[in-house]
Amino acid sequence: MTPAWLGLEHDEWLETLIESLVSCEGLSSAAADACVDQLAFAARSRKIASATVAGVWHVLRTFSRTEVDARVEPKELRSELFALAASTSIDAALERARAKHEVSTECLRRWLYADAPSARVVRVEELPSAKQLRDAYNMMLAQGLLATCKRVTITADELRAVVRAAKMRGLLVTIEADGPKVHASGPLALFRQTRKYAHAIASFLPSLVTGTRFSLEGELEEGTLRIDESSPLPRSWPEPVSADSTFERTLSKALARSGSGWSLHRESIVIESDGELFFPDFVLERGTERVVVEVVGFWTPDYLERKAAHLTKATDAPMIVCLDETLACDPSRVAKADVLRFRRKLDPKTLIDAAERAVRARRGTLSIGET
Amino acid sequence: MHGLVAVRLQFDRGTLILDAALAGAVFDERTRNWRASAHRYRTVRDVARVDGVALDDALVTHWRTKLTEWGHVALRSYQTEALSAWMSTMWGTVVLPTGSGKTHIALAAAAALRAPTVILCPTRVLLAQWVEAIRARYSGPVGVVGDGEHVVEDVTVMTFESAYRKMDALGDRFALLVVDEAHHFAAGVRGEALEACAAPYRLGLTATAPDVGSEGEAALAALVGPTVYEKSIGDLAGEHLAPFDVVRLRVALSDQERVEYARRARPFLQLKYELRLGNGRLDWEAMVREMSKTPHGRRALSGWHRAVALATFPAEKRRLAARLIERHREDKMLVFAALANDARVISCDNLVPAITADTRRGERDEILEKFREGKLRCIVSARVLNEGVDVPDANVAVLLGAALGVREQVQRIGRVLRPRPGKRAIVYDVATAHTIDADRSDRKWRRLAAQTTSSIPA
Repeated sequence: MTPAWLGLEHDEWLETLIESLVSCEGLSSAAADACVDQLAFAARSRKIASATVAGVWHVLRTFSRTEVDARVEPKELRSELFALAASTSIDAALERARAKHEVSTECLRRWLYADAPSARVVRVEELPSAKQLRDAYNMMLAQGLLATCKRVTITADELRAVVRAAKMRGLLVTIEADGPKVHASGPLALFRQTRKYAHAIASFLPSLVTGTRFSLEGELEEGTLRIDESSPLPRSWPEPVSADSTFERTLSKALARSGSGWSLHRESIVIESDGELFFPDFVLERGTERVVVEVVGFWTPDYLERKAAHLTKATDAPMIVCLDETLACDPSRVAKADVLRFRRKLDPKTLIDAAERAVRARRGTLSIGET
Repeated sequence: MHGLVAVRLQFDRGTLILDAALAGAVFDERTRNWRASAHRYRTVRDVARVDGVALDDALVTHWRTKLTEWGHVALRSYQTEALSAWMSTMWGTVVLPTGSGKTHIALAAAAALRAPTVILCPTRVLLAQWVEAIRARYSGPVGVVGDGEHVVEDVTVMTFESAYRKMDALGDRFALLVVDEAHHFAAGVRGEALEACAAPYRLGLTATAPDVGSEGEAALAALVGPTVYEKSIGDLAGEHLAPFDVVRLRVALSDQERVEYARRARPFLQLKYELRLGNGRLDWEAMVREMSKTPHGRRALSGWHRAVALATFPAEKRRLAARLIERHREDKMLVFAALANDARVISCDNLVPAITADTRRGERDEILEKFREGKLRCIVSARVLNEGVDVPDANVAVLLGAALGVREQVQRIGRVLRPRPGKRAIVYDVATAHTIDADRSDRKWRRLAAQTTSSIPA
């Protein structure tokens, strides 16, 4: 199936929508969103579906913000008025609050729930251009459709980011060296359509669109979704900040501060073993010394054994496997595996110590570390 | 037959992997082994036993821990009956009204089994209530996964949301799975949370079982087990729950509202009539799907929703709500609206607090505390107080409108049935005459009357 992309021919219509958002300045969120019906009615003459109008409006609203329009904090006002009304009467409570805050009773009643999401007032500051809006909508559309796919197959010049995103989110990933081609799906995908891995699958897209050549085939409940470099998607898109990239930033800074001489490199090596490709998470480098670091989210003892066997066979660099125990099945079961364990946050100093031990230890074996 | 070599059974990310074919498992090309959804563990194990296949079961070793820290859990007669019914298969759902102590049955089951147990509940508030209830009877550490915490122990409480996200890493830890408010899973909500758990013993708790023969019933039976014990409000009212009276009131639409209602509803009703002429057995879902295919159908549906909203909360209901709140100033009262917005309108009119999905936890707790202390005597809510919040004792409920059918009705009535010596609760049901609102109300009360005693007029 082909997504209902927005193209250049829609820019004029998008401009009218942007103007509509401007006219919503000062309205409540509920009133602003109520204008979708009129916009959908108007878009009929252009043969634009109501679902598209609602989608574009949703994206457009992300360019606005909302605020509470009340001089008294609504929560405080509620607490005050309800307590007064319970001990006196509605009229007496309103009269006392009116005198205290020097406003009309209508105003008091309006302010009472001015912090409800539907009552918050729309403020429009930086408006998008028609192209920005089109890009954002097309991206949302593609990601929304991807999120309904059971499994995806991806070919691209640059697959590392895709593999990283897939692995960190617990997908089963196989990489054919021929192509190369990545197949990614969730374990449950074998049995039924599930949205559990939707975010993981949709998160591939921003890292794909930056490449000059890519193609993605997603298996939908009915039919196949095809997206490639000819699809009208923006060619650069901010990737969501994921836990691993935050971790990477923290680690980079800590390494620089430590004065140990180690620096962090994201996936600077590719390991091929038995027709499959592996991209280790990152490599610590100091001069000619290299230590491969693999951070494992979901794991089983078998998985670790297999992984260690593959990696030690294919690279002579020492390796540290870091296990997040909070995501693990049962820490007691990996007593035999030589690994660096951590809970939620991997301490950079522990990692540096492990790297030092690893380079001292026999090359090609797994380093041992304990937090 | 697999000969003398045992089939290896392991847990992997919410699934079971086997190194040989066994009924219920599917060959997985990706990992070159056989795979089954984890909730089928008990079936896989039973099939292996029947077929004489030896299993090298990596999961079962973990469940051998005998938890000795459980204390005595006292049960009422019907709770003992429910527990006995469940213990015969250790796989099934117990259906009891709100306020009848379903929690105790689950605690007694966990105490009887003394095996690692995970309890799933829909909200963070319930999570805290479960932890408190467990600590009162279990001296070991209690794990919490959800509400910003991630501590896994042999007895652990998780929110549905956390279970959905994390059960694939934890699903082999527990032998007993307790699912509170299990009806959520009958509605198809994130069943992956239960599928990814291998627990062979499962206990579902709910006040509202899905309809017999419905898809929901089948879904719940597959994930938690069939209904093994059921008692309705009528069965328990008077002895274990407070007795109550139902007062059914009718309001009318104003002339203007009536015209508006007819204008909004007509295209839908016309289309519905035409569709039913073509296919008399078309159910609601199929009809909505059919209508959604054309712009005309979508407009009709949209109009219908507005007509329903109008019928659910017309001006006369608003006025009547004010009169009832005033009349019961000295009582402790809960007013239930269909929508959060309606709840806020009643709140503003009568200066009584509303608890909706937008109410933050701190403010909600503060309102409930003041209500408990008697400083506030009325709370308006939409769906939030249906379940999952421990509402202090109240004796008057006003049902202004509902969107979720009998299930919601039972939960709401249950809110005023906490027993107390001399207490007799009143439930007002307010519906708008000659509209879908009254039709729905009639249907609900008919169904409730069928399963309860004569205290509920049909």
